[in-house]
Amino acid sequence: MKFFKYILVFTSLAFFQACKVDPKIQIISIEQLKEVQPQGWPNPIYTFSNNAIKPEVFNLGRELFYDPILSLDNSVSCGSCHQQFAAFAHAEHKFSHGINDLIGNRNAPGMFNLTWHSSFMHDGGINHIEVQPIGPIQNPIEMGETFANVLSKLQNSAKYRQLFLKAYGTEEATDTRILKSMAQFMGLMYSYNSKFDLYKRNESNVKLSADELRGYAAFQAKCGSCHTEPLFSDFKFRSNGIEFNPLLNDSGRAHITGMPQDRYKFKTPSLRNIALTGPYMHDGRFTTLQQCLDHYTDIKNLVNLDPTIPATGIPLTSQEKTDIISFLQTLTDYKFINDPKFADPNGN
Amino acid sequence: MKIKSIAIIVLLAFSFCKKDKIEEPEPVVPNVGNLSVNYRPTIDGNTMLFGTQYKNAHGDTFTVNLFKYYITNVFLVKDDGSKFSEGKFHLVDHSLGGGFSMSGIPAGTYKSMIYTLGVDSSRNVSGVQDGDLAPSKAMFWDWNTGYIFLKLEGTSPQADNGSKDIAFHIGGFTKPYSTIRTMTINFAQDLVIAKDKNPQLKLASNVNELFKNPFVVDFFTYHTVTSPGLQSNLVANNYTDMISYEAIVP
Repeated sequence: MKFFKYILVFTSLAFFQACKVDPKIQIISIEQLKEVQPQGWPNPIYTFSNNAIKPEVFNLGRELFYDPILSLDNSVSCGSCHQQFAAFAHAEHKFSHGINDLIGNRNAPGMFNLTWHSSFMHDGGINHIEVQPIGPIQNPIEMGETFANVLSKLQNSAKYRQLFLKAYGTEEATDTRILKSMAQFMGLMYSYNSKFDLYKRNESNVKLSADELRGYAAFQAKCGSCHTEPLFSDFKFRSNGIEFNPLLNDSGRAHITGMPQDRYKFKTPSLRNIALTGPYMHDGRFTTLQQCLDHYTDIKNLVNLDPTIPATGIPLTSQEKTDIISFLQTLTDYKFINDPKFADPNGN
Repeated sequence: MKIKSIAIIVLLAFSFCKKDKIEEPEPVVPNVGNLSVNYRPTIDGNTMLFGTQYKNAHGDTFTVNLFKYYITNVFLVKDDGSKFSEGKFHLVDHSLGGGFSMSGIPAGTYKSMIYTLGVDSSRNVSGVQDGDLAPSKAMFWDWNTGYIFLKLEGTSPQADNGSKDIAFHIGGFTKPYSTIRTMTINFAQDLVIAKDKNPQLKLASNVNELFKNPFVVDFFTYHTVTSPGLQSNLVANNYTDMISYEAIVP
């Protein structure tokens, strides 16, 4: 009896200690971090062949993603503008605010299924998931920090020296350790369990309603050539005919290529989780899906307009628009946005 | 008990010693040597000092406060034509001495060096790298992925901007504006690499060659060239004769 008591005291102490260290981090196991290629999906562009999946590496990336230490004045983290409940877009923010309340001119996109992306940012200027975070970290109106300074801040942090040690065997902070761990955290954000996915896979007896099915048919006929399944985008650059805003003066893809034929083109976004990732378009000009669909029947800018879009607009009846919106709601993946392993490890 | 354990320890120690002796191979010392490569920043022959005023070929006054570039894919060519490939990436930073050392070079007499100013395209598209290619070296475009191959910053009263700053961040790895350039430097003396020597190859990097031959840069028009493209490519055409041979110290 006495012996049993001792065991109880010791185990609870051990648990208490474990909890004290980092409650949420302890629960992630390697089984929860599998590389995924859902049936019928193309091969991903980024594999983890040079970034071995390991809970300690994932945890390091997760800590970094949610830590404002990456910004100049320690005020803004990646997670500030990429919120899990909004499928990692910035809810109700046309533009996000960076350090010193500076405002940018592009809308923060959602983040999921990133290993299928061949480029990043609305203009596709960043060519690899591992170097993507350097963009916002060093952008003077976002996080405004230099990567060299990030390196020294992390090296000077006892917490991170410990996290580097656990993940990579020594306490040293390096560019590759920081960016590969972040790529691992972000790259494992798979979203493939929406109502639509369950319906497609004949799982759990999920059925689409009559209006959702009508919307799906209309979507396939009128939207599916650019927002191609299963990722709901081919990630190519297009002008969809939205009005040019001279105040923002954003040339889009041409900013990267310097080619006049790329002016006003932006990367076609995935429509997965689209009900959560508003405001919409590269500059967040539309707040509702209805406004987005209304745009496609009323084209404003013909310069470099994508050849699949008629200058007179895509013919859509108001009933079709309503049905398509019903269908788009089925692309929300609640399992993804509630997955605890993608939440802020410090519960902020 | 005590004696027994001591005996075991002694035996163990003995067996380890024995093992070491048996397994230790005859050390094979390869017949290779080292080389230091040093770059002297110059203005047409005179050593360039940061913050000092100079004139470019267009007649514009300027000062330099930062000057660095990537030297990669280095080959040393022997007198028999065979080549030693080093395969490393060196950031030559004139704020930090400006040079690098090479090791593991097969002994022999060398006549020339082939080098690339820039970073090959595969390293521009394959994610994060460490060492001299680490993004924290600030030779990396974060908004339009790729390495800045050469960075020169300074001031010029002719610059048509408020700050009177000049900034040349030259790079780009895609056609038609790839600024990767591969050049050869012939040695006027023999470079002898041997096991116990540490010779020095002394080269000059003439800043003024960035601003002429064939494209004359005037700082009124071209004060800020900081992205890949046409203008970067014009400056890259100039930097093909920026580096020249000075001496070999055996």
